[in-house]
Amino acid sequence: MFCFQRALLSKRSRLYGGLLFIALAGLLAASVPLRAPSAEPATASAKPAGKTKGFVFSYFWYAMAYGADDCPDGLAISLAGGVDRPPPYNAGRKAALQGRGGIRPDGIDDQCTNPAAFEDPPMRTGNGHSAYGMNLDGADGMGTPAPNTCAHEKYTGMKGERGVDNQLYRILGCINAYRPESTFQGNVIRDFVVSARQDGQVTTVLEITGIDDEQNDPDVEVGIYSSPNPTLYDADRKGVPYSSLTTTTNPRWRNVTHGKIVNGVLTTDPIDIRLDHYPGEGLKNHADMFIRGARIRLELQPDGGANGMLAGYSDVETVYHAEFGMAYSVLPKSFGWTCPAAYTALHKLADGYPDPKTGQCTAISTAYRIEAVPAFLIHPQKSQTPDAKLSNVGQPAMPVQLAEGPAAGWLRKLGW
Amino acid sequence: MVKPGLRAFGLSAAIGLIAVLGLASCSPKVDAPATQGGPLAMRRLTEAQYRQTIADIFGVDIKVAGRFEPDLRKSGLLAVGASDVSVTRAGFEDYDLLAHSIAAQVVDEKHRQTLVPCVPASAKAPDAACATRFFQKVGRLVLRRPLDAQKVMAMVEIADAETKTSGNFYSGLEFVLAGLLEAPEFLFRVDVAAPDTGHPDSVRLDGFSKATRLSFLLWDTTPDDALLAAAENGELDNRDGLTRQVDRMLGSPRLDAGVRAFFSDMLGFDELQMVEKDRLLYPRFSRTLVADAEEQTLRTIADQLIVQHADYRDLFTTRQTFMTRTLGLVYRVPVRAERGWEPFEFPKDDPRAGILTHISFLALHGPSGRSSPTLRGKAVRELLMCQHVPAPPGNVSFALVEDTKNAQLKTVRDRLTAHRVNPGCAGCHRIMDPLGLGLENFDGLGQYRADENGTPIDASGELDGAHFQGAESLGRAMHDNPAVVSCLVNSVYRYAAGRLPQPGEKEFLAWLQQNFAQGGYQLPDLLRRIALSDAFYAISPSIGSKSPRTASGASDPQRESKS
Repeated sequence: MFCFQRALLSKRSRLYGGLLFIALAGLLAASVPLRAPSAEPATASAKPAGKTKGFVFSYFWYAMAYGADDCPDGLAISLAGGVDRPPPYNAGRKAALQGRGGIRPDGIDDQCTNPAAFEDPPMRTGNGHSAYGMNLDGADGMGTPAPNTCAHEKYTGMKGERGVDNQLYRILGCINAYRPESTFQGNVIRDFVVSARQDGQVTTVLEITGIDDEQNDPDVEVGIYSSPNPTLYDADRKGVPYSSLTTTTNPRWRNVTHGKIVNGVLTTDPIDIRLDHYPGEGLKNHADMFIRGARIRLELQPDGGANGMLAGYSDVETVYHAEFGMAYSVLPKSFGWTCPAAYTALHKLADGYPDPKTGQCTAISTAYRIEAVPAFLIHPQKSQTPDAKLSNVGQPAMPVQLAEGPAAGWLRKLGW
Repeated sequence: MVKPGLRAFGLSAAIGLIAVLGLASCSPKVDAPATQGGPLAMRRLTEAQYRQTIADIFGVDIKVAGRFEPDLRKSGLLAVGASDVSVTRAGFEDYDLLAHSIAAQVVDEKHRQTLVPCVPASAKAPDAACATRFFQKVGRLVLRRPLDAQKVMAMVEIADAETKTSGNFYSGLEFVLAGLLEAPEFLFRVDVAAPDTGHPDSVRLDGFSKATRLSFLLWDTTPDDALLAAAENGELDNRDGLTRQVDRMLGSPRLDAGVRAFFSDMLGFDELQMVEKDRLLYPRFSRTLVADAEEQTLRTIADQLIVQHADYRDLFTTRQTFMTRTLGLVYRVPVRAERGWEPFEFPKDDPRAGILTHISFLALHGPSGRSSPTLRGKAVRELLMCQHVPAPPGNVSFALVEDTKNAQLKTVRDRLTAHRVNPGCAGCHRIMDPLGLGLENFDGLGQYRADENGTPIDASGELDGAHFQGAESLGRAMHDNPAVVSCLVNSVYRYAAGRLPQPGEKEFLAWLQQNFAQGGYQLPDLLRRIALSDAFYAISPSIGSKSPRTASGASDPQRESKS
């Protein structure tokens, strides 16, 4: 272990030395007049020790299995069919939220902004057997739950692997607009998010540095960043390789971890990551993607691209606002969920990072599919002025104890 | 030379003759072989020259929005074709719209304070004194020579009449200014001859024609105030005065525009506007890429030849260039600058070196869906070595060459070798293909490739006895080829004179070439030598025109057109 740590330290020192060199070279380049290419050209050779491979994600959304048996009870209930009444207030929880922001004195509140102020309707969630994902907690689901988790069922992976954690899929997989057979528009949410990426609204890049052997290297550094530059696509909506992309100056969206390459497959150590998230035009402003214990598995392709998965625990409050707490409450009505129900389900199915005081889990396991093409990543000189696309997480819903039962009366009024 | 289209210029009569008085008599002396010179010329301004001229006279915020007559490429250069083109009826309508649009902007409330040198006593009535000052100032700049009092008076009278009709002093100025901007003396660079003192049988260019030649050669725009003043004072007719002006212009940042204009013409970059590529085969192709590719090459050339004082031949071997992110996509190199340009140098082991490996050259000379060693080789021969390659016979079949998925003939080299079996094709292809095959590591867009259809590309070839292996060594072969140097000298002179060299100028060109080599192949030196030479300004009355425009009264193009 000592030798490994020392080797790692030595390698990282080289990396940091290389980065320092790049920064100095960049400063010099910035001060060189345009008409002096020989003075300090930006050549491709200015790299840290070892080889560097950069990627831009051309696809980055949930890994969805779409199994036929995902939702034995049917899809989630929405405020559809001309019934647009929200569930009734939960007087106690609303009172608890008073004075903490977001609750209007006149008592008229948006159910998506303050889902916890309403009674808890049930959420039809998934109960299928197979899903994409990783075994995040190490348990195989057959015996004792892993420590620091909340009880949950495990999936079997799409390749038969056991113990896959993907509790968020139990929710997303049973919402109309997240499925290809959606009655509103097949895969409409995916298309919103993917289109936002294709339109240049959100960009995610990854960099592997210190590569000595592209097939097998036990010690590489992996950075996952947001970028203010657009991802380039061709007319077929395929990512265009070898673009130059500047990584974000916002330290919040810069994440670095350790990884290894085995037989051309990169895996990373778990790390809490935050990235710029943009669910799509007209839905919401830029927000955070906050995934705890995130790990990446990427198969490095001969053409310079990579395919794989990012799995981890999505912070419940963050993912609620990114996915469900839309600014316009008409969307849940069309897309197939109710905000209080989704909020409740997220807390109910959360399986990681329990609150030390309450024991309630604050994060929910999930998995994203990644398709990436090679890219040149340009790092800013220093993180000083944040990008224009600032995180706009806003005020998260005030978490409260979810102890009360479903809003049976409200459901009866809706005819369910 | 009779220009039928010039008859359309109605305002010429209002402008009248341009008298040139007080010409000095000393000719600059250089140790160059004597020449007889060429004919007087009328060279139509290119679109770029027109735009820059308006910007120089009236400022960059005057919008020039309209269409222009297409340019003509002749003897390899638009600059030569400019001596042969006229203005069509439809083209004159476009120039008329442009002229009125520009004139209206010059006198509008936003610009009149700076562009009109006086304030009229009343904005609603004629003011002859103010109008006179305006036309004296603007007319000299627009027509590239001062106007005599009679001419100015005629303009003022027309302006006054318009003012009385419209009740607006500035409408009068606008009306006459629009006429000036439609005048042949503005739209064309009109050579005017003057008697050559000491040589009664000879004529030479007058000072203002010299100033115009100089300015368009070195700056690609109209003469500035200082150059016109030098012409007015007779400085351009003596060696010291001419040298002062030439050195001033060569030392100006505006030389950049002049050098760019020459190479844009020589390299045929006007054709880049029409380049189109198959977007399925080349998804990185875009109009932005084309614009950046053109700018990259011109920026590289200007940097090498003006800033770094590099040997001209180094353009074919230099790894230094400039890059944008759009270009970086195709070159597959990182570009730090999110916007704009940054210096870049290809590593020593990179297959790219020299402007032949720029996207501008590689993409320009080829069809939309594949590379063409033949067209690339032809371009090198014709543009850079001034050699003529005959057109293919009318009945030639290109089917084999275009079959890029041929299972047996996997590479372009294979297909061209099969194509050359036809003896009717072989002769010319032997000249072009071996050259172009040296660039086969770059596809139709200019992207690097090591193989084609799974077969490694053989980029070896031969240029006039020099064998090369790939683009980098092809660049070195170009660097060392004497035809590349002689072509540049010849092209610069053709560009400067707007015509092919006359038979009597052979020795002069050889002298230029010899000095170019002895001076280390420095382009500014070559330009200086031409600009200071008698040959550049020499006029031969016996060539091309039986009645040259002279300062003694034959300078009216309209009168000449009636002759």
